[in-house]
Amino acid sequence: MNCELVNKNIDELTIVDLNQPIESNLKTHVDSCESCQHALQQQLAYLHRVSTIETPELSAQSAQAMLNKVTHKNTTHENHNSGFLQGFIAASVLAVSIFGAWNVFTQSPEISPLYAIENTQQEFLTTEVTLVINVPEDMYDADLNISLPQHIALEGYDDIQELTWPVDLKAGVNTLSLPIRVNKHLSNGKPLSIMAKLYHYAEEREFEIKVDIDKIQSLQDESALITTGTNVAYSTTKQAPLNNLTVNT
Amino acid sequence: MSQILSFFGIKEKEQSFEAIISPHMNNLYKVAFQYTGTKHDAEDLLQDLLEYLFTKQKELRKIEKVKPWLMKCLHHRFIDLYRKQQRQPDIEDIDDEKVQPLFRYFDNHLQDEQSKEIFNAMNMLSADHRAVVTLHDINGYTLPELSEIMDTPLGTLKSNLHRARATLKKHIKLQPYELDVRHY
Repeated sequence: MNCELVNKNIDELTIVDLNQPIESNLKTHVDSCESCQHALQQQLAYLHRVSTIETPELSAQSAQAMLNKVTHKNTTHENHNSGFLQGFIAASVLAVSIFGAWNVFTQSPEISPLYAIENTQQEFLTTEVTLVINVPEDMYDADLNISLPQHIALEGYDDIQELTWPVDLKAGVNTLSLPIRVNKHLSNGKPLSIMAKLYHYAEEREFEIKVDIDKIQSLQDESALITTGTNVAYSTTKQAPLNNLTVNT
Repeated sequence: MSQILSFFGIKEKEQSFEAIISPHMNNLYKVAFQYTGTKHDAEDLLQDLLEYLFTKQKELRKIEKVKPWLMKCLHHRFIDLYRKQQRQPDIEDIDDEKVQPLFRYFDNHLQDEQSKEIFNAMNMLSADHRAVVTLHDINGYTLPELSEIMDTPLGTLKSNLHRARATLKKHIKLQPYELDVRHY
């Protein structure tokens, strides 16, 4: 047996092996090879040290208190939907699903004529998008991260280019919408992308939302000519969503 | 028994959440402590896990081998918290003192100097390396079991274990182990 094989054997030793006899061929080599003997001693010493590590116990009272906390909290808030998200992004949306289980698709735009009239002559385009996330079961304590490109800002938060906030997704449809402002001159009609990431435990989902400035502009110009007969979704706001982005998990 | 009861259309009484989790609380806490290195963070991690598990009661009741499943959930929660910690810069508290970042400092309540040294050395490891050392070297899980728990291929686990051990050995003073002491 050569040193390479011995090293491989040594590497595979575990705490169980501390009380087991060393394989005879391994011992034969180790007895005659100083470096392997040293490596074996180091490995056994390491295993002995970590196997005797001091770890505190959880008292029965603490365990009960922790269980009580979670059961009490969830009983009192059983029917409380903490509400998913306060907002999201805008415009002509194309999203790409990175992970197989998450399907992202877009729906046809709905335009508010009132809003479009207000904004067609301005330097900034202000609009709003609704993201719809379908989840098969509750996803508590997820994190949503949004990265904005240089020429897009959240309405009222000009200096923030990236933000992360915790979200609780309830089983079924969760919607969020958030107004954004696009500097149409600086962007020069170039396509912009907003990156969104959703974290839940060890999983991470990333999707890209493409913002087509020209398309938003043309849609708003067209809608400015319409005076009646348009369905305005989300009538609670003047800025109706141009697009809905739906994510299925 | 459950089959007999279901044959007669009688439902077996479901175990309560506490009844399922209680027997594993101490073990989960110990592993959480080994992951995080402090009592406070271990309690936070365990509390987070309990919150999550409470929402998964239906799934939990269907699990045959609860212990490895709980370990898997705990591992995911640990990785998630670690990642959150990495994303957040140091936060200043109300006294304008820097809040110590999670998973960087061992617990001063530990009496054993050697254990302190090990936890201090484990702070040098990444979350994945720390998890594999904790579960494999301290708790005796096999690599195939870890592959299930950590959703990681065996080859990657072996590599991570090798690297993690190498790092720890550099930072822990090891007394030469007397080979003759062992039983042959």
